[in-house]
Amino acid sequence: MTTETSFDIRPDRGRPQPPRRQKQQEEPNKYRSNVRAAPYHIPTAPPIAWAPGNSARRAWLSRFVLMGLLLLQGLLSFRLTNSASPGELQTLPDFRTGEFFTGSGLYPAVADVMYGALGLGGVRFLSMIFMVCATGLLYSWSTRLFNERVGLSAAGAFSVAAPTLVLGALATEDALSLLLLAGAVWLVVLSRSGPLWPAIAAGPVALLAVVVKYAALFYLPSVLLLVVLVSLRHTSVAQAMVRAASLGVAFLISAVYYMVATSGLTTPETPELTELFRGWFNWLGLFLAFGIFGMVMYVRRARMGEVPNGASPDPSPVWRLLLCTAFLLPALLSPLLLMATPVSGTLWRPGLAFGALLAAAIVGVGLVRMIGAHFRFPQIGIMAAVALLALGMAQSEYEYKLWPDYENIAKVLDGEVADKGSYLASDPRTFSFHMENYESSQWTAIADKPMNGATGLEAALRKGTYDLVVIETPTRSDEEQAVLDQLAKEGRYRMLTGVPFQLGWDIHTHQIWIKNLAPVTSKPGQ
Amino acid sequence: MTLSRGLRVAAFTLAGALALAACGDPALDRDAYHAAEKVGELKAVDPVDIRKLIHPENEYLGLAYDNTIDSGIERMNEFGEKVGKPHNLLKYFEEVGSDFKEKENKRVWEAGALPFADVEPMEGTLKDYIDGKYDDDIRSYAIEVKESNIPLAYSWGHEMNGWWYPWGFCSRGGTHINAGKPNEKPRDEEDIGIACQGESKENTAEDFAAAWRHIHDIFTEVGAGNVIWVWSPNTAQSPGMPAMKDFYPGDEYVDWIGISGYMNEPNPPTKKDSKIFQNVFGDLLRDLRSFTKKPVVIAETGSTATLRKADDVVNLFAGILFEKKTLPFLRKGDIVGFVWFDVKKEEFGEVVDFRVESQPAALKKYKQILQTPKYGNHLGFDPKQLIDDN
Repeated sequence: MTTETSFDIRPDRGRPQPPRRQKQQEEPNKYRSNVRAAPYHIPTAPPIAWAPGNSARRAWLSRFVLMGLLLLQGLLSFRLTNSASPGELQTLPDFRTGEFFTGSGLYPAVADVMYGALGLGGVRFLSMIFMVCATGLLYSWSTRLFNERVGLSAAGAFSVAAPTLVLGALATEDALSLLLLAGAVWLVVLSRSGPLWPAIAAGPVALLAVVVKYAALFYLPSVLLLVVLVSLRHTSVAQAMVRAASLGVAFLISAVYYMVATSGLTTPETPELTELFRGWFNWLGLFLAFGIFGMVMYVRRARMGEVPNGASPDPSPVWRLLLCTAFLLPALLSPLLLMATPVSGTLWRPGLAFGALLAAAIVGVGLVRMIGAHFRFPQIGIMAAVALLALGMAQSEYEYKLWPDYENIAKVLDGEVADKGSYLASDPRTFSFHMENYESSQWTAIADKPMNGATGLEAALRKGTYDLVVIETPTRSDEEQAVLDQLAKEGRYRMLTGVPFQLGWDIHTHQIWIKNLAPVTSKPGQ
Repeated sequence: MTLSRGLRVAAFTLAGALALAACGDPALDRDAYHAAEKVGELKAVDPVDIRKLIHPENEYLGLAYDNTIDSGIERMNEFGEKVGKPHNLLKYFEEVGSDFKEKENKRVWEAGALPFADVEPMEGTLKDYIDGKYDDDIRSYAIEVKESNIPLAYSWGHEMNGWWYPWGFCSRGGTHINAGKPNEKPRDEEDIGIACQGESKENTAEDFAAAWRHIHDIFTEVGAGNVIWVWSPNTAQSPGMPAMKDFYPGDEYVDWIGISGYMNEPNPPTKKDSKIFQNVFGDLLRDLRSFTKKPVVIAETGSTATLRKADDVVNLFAGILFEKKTLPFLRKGDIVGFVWFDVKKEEFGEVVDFRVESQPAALKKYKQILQTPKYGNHLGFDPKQLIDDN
């Protein structure tokens, strides 16, 4: 819809000019009038100086800025480098250890195809595309619900948030599920006063999000509330019921599916609630502070721009509060939701992206309100953007280093292993993915508790059973510590080298121990 | 709501949220980030395997010089030409805090010798090292050593059981005279109790062992496995000192026992002393062998004798090659080499000349031993070739 008004202030060329006055010679000069018609035309002044609706120019300018944000998001995800995380290995063919328990087999099937064609990098690239598309959809629904300024702020805040960046660099099912959830929200907002089909289509899309990742179920109530709210505002109660039906059914099916699929699964322990709250606070604290500010400001005053909304009346404060609740509540309850989310490995914080995605629109409102009408306080916006960007960059980099980089250790081990040899490692499966000369029959995992535990391992090391031992320090289990102590204790082994790596900002090392040589001497007899 | 009020709310929200969010997030620890970054950027290399260098078949022939490493290489090569055999262990001295001189050490290695860094913690106290005050310096040094990927013999705080260095033993301002041995009277001014009386430093044997372990842990943390750890006590173990074992960080932290001991000019000078090797090194070696079986290198030796220097040279070689015969508590092959401190210097206000070449007869004897196949065949080797033959 274009409501831009143009005002032409140029002289009206081509219009019939007023007849030139004939010089009346007979009339004395003193009676002649000096008032003449102006040679230009002043149009009627409009009531406002800005067009209240969307203009094509504004839309394209916004999309141009959005492209920049999406590019930035892609680059910030791309800068995160590490070897395959335990969660990623679960999704990759040949490396699945145990059951894939965070979603159905749909994503692993998609990943298999991509992995076969482009390897791990290809699957991660796919995640980045999913996340960038999700940001694009977020912009779209925020713009439709509010305006471009909010859309850009929401997309900007979400695109640099740590969970967004990490999920965009992980070959896991989260990114696809998040994109499908974003698709459901977008369809809901698309149908608000228009055709029925997007609201109907939102149901299967939301169901698919849960099929890809079971925990997406926790975010469907928000989408359901959203469809009711936007439909109620623009249509009748009956229409709202119809439009919400598809999502309602999808939610019920998802809930049953979730219970069936997750019952009987032995999932790893979830982090403690205090840790969940601390992580949530560190990662989404600032983001949600802007969101809550946005909610307060939006509930107080509906008008989003410098000009009146025109014919469309403002939504009621109750509606506005409910809308903000629908968007913000999942993010506010994230720690509780994540408690029930099966997590592979220790990477639970990227799961905050689901809540952040929904909250982003209100965060956008908050940012816009901070900057104020007529860009009254751009410095506040700049400060907020810098803070969000800096936090997102630091936190995502930290999170992406929370599992060891196995590439270096794999390269070193490739040069050390031989066809005949017996090797011991904390968990050789972790670096086997990156090794060229890996032969699983040669390796024993301490994690599998061989030799009847620590005592048996100590005895094996005293006998020199293993030609080479790889152990991560600081150690993670009693068995590993016993092995390390034994290696250092009796001089049977010696550290060949250590391959250090980062775990967050801590330094850990893969130590490689090899058998010591027996003392030799060429000295004459004594 | 007025604009200014809105601004205030916005500013407070932003500042408050930022402060809260940043609170306690390990991701925002800038110092830790920069410390980890150095390690994270290390590239994988095919690690040098130094096992054969720890207990080689032949003996190390070592030299120690003051001044720069490059001048040491030059003087080592000159000396090798004089005695007709290249030397293969070059010791140099440097202070903690200086960078690892990768190019110079690589030149030593290329010249056919194992570089031997004697690192002196001239700054700070032992407790500072234990508390991690110098961790950054040590970590940078360890990373540079690892990246060089050449073998390095490394001795930190040598002669720790003497009172004369800042890191040397001295506790309770000398009030511990004859601790544990109340019936024994202080013998001379070298007695540790007298020597460090009034000294402000407070270094215990346990402090030294703990500082050593801390430094070793940093090297291990960055994965520097190309280091031969040389723990270097002095033979001057005077009354009132704690047991040597208390200075020892443990077998898992040490590769070589490096002993400093000198064959000094007696008064009046004599021509011979057939027991000089036993007298200088015997007591300490016996003590050390009671708690460790690690190979021994004579990490610093020399003779200040004039008339006796040639004899000292003979006795040193005999002690090294026939250690079991000279000191029966040793096993054959226990001593893996020696380092001759080939320097003329001023010490305690007196000019002392440790150099072999200060006495032509000593130089001649030195050369003669090396040229005699019965002995010379067991002395010296090319460490680089030994590793490359793997």
